[in-house]
Amino acid sequence: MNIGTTIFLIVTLLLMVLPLLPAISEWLKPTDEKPVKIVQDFDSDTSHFAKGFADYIRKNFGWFFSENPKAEDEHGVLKDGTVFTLFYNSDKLQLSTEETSRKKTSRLLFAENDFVLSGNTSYHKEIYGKRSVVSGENSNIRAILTEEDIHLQKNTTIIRWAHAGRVLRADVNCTLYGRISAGDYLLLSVPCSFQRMSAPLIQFGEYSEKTAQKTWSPKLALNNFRPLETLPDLKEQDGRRWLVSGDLRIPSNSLFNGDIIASRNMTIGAGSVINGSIKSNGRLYIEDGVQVQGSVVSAGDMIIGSGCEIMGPVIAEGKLLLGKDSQIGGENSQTSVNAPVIHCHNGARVYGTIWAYDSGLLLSDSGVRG
Amino acid sequence: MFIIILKILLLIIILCILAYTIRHYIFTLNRLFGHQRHPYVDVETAQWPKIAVLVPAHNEEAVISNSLEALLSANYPHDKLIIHVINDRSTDRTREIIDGFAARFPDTIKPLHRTTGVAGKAAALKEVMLYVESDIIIVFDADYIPGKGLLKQLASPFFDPEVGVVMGRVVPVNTKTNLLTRLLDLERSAGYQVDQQARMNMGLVPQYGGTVGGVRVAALESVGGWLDHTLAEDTDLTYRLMLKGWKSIYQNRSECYEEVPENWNVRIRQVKRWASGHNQALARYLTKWIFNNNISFRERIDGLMLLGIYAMSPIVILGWIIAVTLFYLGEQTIANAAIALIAVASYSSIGNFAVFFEISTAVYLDRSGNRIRLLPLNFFNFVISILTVTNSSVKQIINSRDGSTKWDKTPRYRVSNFILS
Repeated sequence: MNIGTTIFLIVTLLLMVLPLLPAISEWLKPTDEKPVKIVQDFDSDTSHFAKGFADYIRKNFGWFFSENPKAEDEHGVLKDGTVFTLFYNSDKLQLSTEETSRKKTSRLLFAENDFVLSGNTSYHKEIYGKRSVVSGENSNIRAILTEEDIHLQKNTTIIRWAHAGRVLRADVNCTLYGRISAGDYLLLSVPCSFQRMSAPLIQFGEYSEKTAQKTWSPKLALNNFRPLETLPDLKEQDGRRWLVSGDLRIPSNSLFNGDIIASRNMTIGAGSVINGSIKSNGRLYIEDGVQVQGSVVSAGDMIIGSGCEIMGPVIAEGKLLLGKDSQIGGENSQTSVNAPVIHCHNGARVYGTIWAYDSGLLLSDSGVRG
Repeated sequence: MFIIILKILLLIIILCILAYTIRHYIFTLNRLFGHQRHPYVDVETAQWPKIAVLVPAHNEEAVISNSLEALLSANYPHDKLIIHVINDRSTDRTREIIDGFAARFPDTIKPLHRTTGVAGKAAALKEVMLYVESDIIIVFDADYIPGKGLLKQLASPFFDPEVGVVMGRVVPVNTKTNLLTRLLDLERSAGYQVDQQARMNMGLVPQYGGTVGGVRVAALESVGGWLDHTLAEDTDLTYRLMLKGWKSIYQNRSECYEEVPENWNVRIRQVKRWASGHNQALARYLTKWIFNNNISFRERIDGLMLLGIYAMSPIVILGWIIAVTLFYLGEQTIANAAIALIAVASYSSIGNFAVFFEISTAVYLDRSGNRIRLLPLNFFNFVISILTVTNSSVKQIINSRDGSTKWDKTPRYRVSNFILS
């Protein structure tokens, strides 16, 4: 064997063996062999962080809840290095000179009574209110938890989360990042932006009962409806499921019993009642005054007209527009509204959870923010 | 003439291999750069439907307690939850343990003790359906430990009236045991994190895997219920449902730990079972799938390729044989090219999603670190798989039997009261 062949064989052997060396090393001396981590206690609760913070408060300030209120506010540092201030009697935040000049505070603020925060300030640590808290205008708040109410004055931004034990109210031009929740209801003023919110009732702007009156009210009902016995371009029908090929339009004032699935776009005509769920594999347009007793799902964009009532959940893989005075869910049947982008018109209300993965906007009646 | 025939066959085989290779490249690129679809997993609040969790059990004394405890700790409304535990002729303490839980939680846990009838998981599921009154069933193997929110996550896709079946992700928990479990961990990661999720993203055919998954009862009934003489009831059900216009959904974030085989004998038996079951489904549904009107064009293509995935092993080996034969018959140009191509591409196309670049991508997406170094050793796993599948496929053709009707389950390695660290 000549030297050229020998070199060739050695190089070939090296090329074959070299990739195995790290493999054999990892096999014999494992450095990464733990199972992929699964979050076993994941519970999809919007108020998860708020609850965690409440536990933190009780753990670090448990003495506060058991002792009588003191005369003077208290300042200190927790074991984890968190600088805090307890406001026993003050009802208004007084910033230090340095905080005022820098327009920010890094103290954890703890308020015994109703409390007002300073405006034009960034709050880099959490805020806890044993009763209610009002934010100052033009504030940035990392996170806030109260046992009663939260009132976010105009141009306030929540960075991570906010939870009110009763009512959370956001004035105009508030930006609600992260998780927003309340024990009773959330009220947003036009215009606002949001991401993920949860409460027994989420009210966008002002709800008008008059506009939401349904054309199908029980007194009128049966004479005005056209019961649909079948659907065009039907591919499959078994039990409650009606599978339709292509685009589908349900005429106005129709009454249909069953679940409808369209392979492409779907339009539900004004005033119709669907006693079931609907799914569009394209765009879904629900005209004004429609009632859907089940869920509404679209693979594309979804438009829900004015005065609609949908029991939910509502799931759109495209953009979702919630019409004026439309209602999702009910007092005794909370549900979810999920889409990457959600635009709500004045008067829309959701009972339960609304989650805009990318962005959520509350629009004025003109549809333009601001 | 003989050489021409061999060349044509070889060309067809190469095209098939290339098709699968391209398929898996597309999946990988989609997973890395495409739009990721998780439309249902974040349904937080709802009027949750009644669900029945089915837990088939055969000699599961080591693990059944942990599984039932975990299910009872789920945050699913307990007035909407029934857990049917099906004890199928266990000879250990499984029955006693199940009855103990049923006594403690009579409203939630309903035991079914089978002593007669066809053996096997599919038959057990079929029999328990007589007692199910829920709209949705969710199946867990007896050694699985679901997290608190998993039942809600698996139930939420069924708010979409088109969904017939849902599959979550299984994650090996016994990765530290030996090299085999680490290699299988890589394989599973690729299969779920990349392959299944890419198929979900692209509206293709995510496959129901028989556990950590749910089925709509109305959908199941519309396709004739569970078939007790199938080797792979999961694959079979996926195709039957899609032929009827139902959709199959995969949820990558709906995760649950499982145990993978810890020795090669068990692993080989597992692969044989999967291969036989899959080939059985291929024989049953190939023609129907080609001509059905309820599936889209892309579903049709992907479904065909999925059906044929285990059949590719003997085809690849045939390709090797033909290429080498042509080489020795003097057709060295085409043979050399074919050998090289098959060598490079075949490992990308074979077996239970064990595709090398999918593994790399899965490890990256899982934010795992050095375990990727084991990737070259997966070549041996691949060789064993291809031989096992080929052996199983050939025997299946020769015997032309409809699968076994006995429990051929993966042994359990955990002891009781296993605590996840």
